[in-house]
Amino acid sequence: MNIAKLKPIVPGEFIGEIVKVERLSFYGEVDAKQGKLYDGRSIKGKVLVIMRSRGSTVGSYIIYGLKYYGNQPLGIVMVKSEPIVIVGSIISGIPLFEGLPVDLFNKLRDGCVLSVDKAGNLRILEC
Amino acid sequence: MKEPEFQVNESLMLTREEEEILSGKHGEAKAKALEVIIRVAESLDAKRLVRIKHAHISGVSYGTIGEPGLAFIKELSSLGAKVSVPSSLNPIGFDESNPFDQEVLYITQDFYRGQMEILENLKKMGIDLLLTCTPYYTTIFRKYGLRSGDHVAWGESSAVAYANSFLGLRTNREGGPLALMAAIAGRTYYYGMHIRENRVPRVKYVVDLNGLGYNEVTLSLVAEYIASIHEDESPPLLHLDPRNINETTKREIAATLGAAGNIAMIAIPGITKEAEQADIRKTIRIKNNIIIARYKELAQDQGIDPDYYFIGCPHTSEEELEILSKIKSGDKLIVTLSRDVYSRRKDLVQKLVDKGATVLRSTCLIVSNLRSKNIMIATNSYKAYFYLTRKGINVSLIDIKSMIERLGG
Repeated sequence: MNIAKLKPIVPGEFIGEIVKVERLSFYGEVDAKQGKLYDGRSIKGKVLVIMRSRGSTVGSYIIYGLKYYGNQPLGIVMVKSEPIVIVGSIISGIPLFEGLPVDLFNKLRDGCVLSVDKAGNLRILEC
Repeated sequence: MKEPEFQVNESLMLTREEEEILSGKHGEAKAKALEVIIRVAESLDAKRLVRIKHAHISGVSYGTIGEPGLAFIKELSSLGAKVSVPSSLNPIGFDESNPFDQEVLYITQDFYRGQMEILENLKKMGIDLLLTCTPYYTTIFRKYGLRSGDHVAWGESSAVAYANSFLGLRTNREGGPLALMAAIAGRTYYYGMHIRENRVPRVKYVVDLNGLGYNEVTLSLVAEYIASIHEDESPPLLHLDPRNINETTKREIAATLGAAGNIAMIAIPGITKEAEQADIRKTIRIKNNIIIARYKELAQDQGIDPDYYFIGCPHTSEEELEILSKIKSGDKLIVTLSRDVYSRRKDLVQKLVDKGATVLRSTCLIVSNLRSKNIMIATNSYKAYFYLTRKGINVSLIDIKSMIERLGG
């Protein structure tokens, strides 16, 4: 079932387990070398679902660092994106989509499996 | 950075010069830089690009960007990248006058080598090694003739909020690599804060801090709250008596908005020009008890004796140096500032050093490496609180006036 239509920001497609964060500053709250969030959750090979980003403009380099160390997420899905994340995703080739409805964000939890196709069709496969 | 088949979307208007740059006529590096800016422009549905007068580039410390950042910068540099507008840099990971011999910081040989390599490559591009997060306290305004209304591309989230809110400059929160590429291309995407209409506030916040008082710490907590609830695309308007705001407060509010949220601008009546054009559709009264509770949480350890007192996130102003120099004992005081302010006010720096203070140039505690994490730092900076606690360090907030009283000033 097609659950939501997202806007592709950096094109791509992916299927994977999600890791959900409400507000995220890539700098300070993501360890690129370990591929982990500062609370210890791994984002390597996962779908990173974020409500909104915040914080340092160095964030773009941290996203690049995730790719550099081979720890990048499969893709990033946001309620609302911002240039810091967009630039990081572009230079790292990490698919980025925005427009995730807030009520859907609230329903999702870590471990749910979703897919996003090139056109931005989001499907929940397991939750 | 490889984009083999690059095609520009038709809804984005490019000038003839921009098309030339893209074709590689002005070098490979400039073409690459413009390509990334165009891709951002397209993803944001921007209709055109805008020429910028200045770029301030964040993501300079080896401590924050590490090997990946160094690799990125080296690749651009190897293509012969040169900036095409005056550009300046954010702080590095240590005081370059004294990289290793620090009581507070700990810099390895690898860190030093990585940092110097970053700097050499950026210097080769023609960037001014300003090495500060407060470019607005330096001479660049006179030097480059920057004026209210000018379009710039600034990284450094605190400086972005300060520039839009208090200087009338127009910039989005540019990611470090984007600010660098905007410097090379001389342009950025025309979007967000560059567009006059988007700078008009629509949501007004009212707060009464009687009982708590108005200083940089209490107002930063107001800014933190606004950053957590503000959803509108327009800048928030904060209704305050301008008499309750000084230079330190302005800088710390801006830094908080950039750390706790992604707000690029705040309008304060009597200070921000755009506040006069406000088109308020919603007024939010911030409950006094929310701020008081947060104050108790973050400033609760004020009674405890910290290992260090820290001022200079973002970098200290001349006025602050002046009031700080009146303290009795600076043994526990760490001050970070730009090399520009340092060299202009060597007299005040010397006074502080004579009283035992540690004064560090061109760096700050959040982009460097602390010798010990098992310490307690008291600071007036919410931004420092935000990033240092994420490194596992204990931080308590205290306003500069109270700090100076504690240090016998």
